[in-house]
Amino acid sequence: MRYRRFTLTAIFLLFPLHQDFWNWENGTLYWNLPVGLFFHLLLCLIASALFMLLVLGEKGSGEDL
Amino acid sequence: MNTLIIVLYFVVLLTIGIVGSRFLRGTSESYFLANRTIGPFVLLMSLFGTQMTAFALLGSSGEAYHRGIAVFAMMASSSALIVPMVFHFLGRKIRVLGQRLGCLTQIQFFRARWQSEIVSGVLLVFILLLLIPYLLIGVMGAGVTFHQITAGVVPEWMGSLIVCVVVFLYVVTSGLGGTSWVNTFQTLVFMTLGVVTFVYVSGELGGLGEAMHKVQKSHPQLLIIGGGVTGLELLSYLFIPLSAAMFPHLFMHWLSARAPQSFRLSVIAYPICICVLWIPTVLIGVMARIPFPNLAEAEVNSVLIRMIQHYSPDLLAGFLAAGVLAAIMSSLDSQVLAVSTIFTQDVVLHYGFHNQMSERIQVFSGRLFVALILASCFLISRFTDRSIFSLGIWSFTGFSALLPVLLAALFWRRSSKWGALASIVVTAVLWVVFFWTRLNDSFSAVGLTGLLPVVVILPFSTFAMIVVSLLTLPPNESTLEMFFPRRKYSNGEKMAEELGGSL
Repeated sequence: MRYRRFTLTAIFLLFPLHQDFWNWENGTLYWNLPVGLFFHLLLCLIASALFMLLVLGEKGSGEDL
Repeated sequence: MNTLIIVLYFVVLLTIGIVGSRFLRGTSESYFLANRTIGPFVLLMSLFGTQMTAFALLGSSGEAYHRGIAVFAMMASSSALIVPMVFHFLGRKIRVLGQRLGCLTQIQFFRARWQSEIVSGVLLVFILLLLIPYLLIGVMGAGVTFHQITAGVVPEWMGSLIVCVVVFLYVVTSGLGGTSWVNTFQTLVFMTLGVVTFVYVSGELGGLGEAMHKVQKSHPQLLIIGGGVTGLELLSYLFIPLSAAMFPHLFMHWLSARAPQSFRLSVIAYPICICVLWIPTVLIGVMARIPFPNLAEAEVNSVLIRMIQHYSPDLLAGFLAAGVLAAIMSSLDSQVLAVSTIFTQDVVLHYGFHNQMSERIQVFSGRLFVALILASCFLISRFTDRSIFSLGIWSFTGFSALLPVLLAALFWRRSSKWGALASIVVTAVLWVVFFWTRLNDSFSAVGLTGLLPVVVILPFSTFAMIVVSLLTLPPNESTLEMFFPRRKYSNGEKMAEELGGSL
């Protein structure tokens, strides 16, 4: 239960991060990508990893949802 | 050469459709829901391919031409956060309940939950109205693509017609099973070709770093998030992907999943698929400022195709054009199939034949409606101007604002049919008001706030759901037992008949 709560909290923390106001006027290039785009790419990859933790932590077949 | 490649591509699609038809069993569940046997990979590809329309591919690069990388934050990363959660928390539950109740459509599901002809009827009409612009985007996008890749040889109307005929052939031949296979192939095609286009175009511009430096010098505002969007607008765009919860075509794909575990891959891989598709298309839109610094408003939607034609050799251009058509058709087919299923099950079978219709006639009716819907969309597209592209976001707004109805159906025992009706009516009225007052503008925010209309409509719709439900009688116990069962039902066990409920 604590594992699920931790994963869900981490996922919900991504929503304020999505606003990304600290990169608002930053046009620096990281690995040839604008920093704003690079940040959102990273956000998507972290989201994918957290979703993996969420679904793999689910017990049972899901038929009793 | 382009035309030949596209013809060959269509032949491959029809072949997959014909192979898929060998698995049809002649029953309505087999034709409309592939016997609920779709596995994890095909489910992911179908869901992603269905979500990514002409709007995603042509519209994203066009918007990026104007608003730069902010488009990725507005439309892509917001979807990457929201849509997998919709699949996980709502899609799986609908899949389980849908099988227990024996539902084939979204409308049947809501009719069972609210036990109300009025609620299901009003919802049916509103959902179909919202889907019309969405369907037209596909039909018109196909015409534009054909016209441009053949350098004007194929007129737009003929391009639209050809795509409608191809989609018709493989959808009626193979039902949802074959269509899911075709979708899987098409999704792989447009994702691969999107990356290939990006690598090729940036290579022609001297590499990605060189291209970005050129844009940085000429249009620096395109490389910062704040150059294309305001804070409140970005916040508003988090509400738009909620529309995934109420799309009838996604609902249909959820019901077709083999098991709740089949959703796992979709939940995990969806954000990665978003990056693979959207980063190349957004960057191509930004890089288009180098060869085409000042395109007119009407030319912007075709910026992706212009870049393909400008930089790619003829052979590659043909393949890339097929990729654009793949994105368009992989959405159009599922949408048409979903609407034809709704017409067959919820209009003809429910109202016309009072649920007395043979399986064979149901399948025939489904096929007939596929033809009628495609023919209607084609005809309407002939009398509509291109501003229809801006209507896509209006469609998303309406579906997003219906979310409280679904959440209440799944998670709130006390919610009543009158609450659901109030929520749908409030959504419909506010949607129409916003739509008409902004009909001649581009899609604009509410007042000077920067907020999109969905942010206003959603709280009103939620408020109506809660207040009216609390003021009216709750559903009866047998209905609640169907949706919030006290005992466990085994896989495949149909509970609707057992409990005396009706669809």
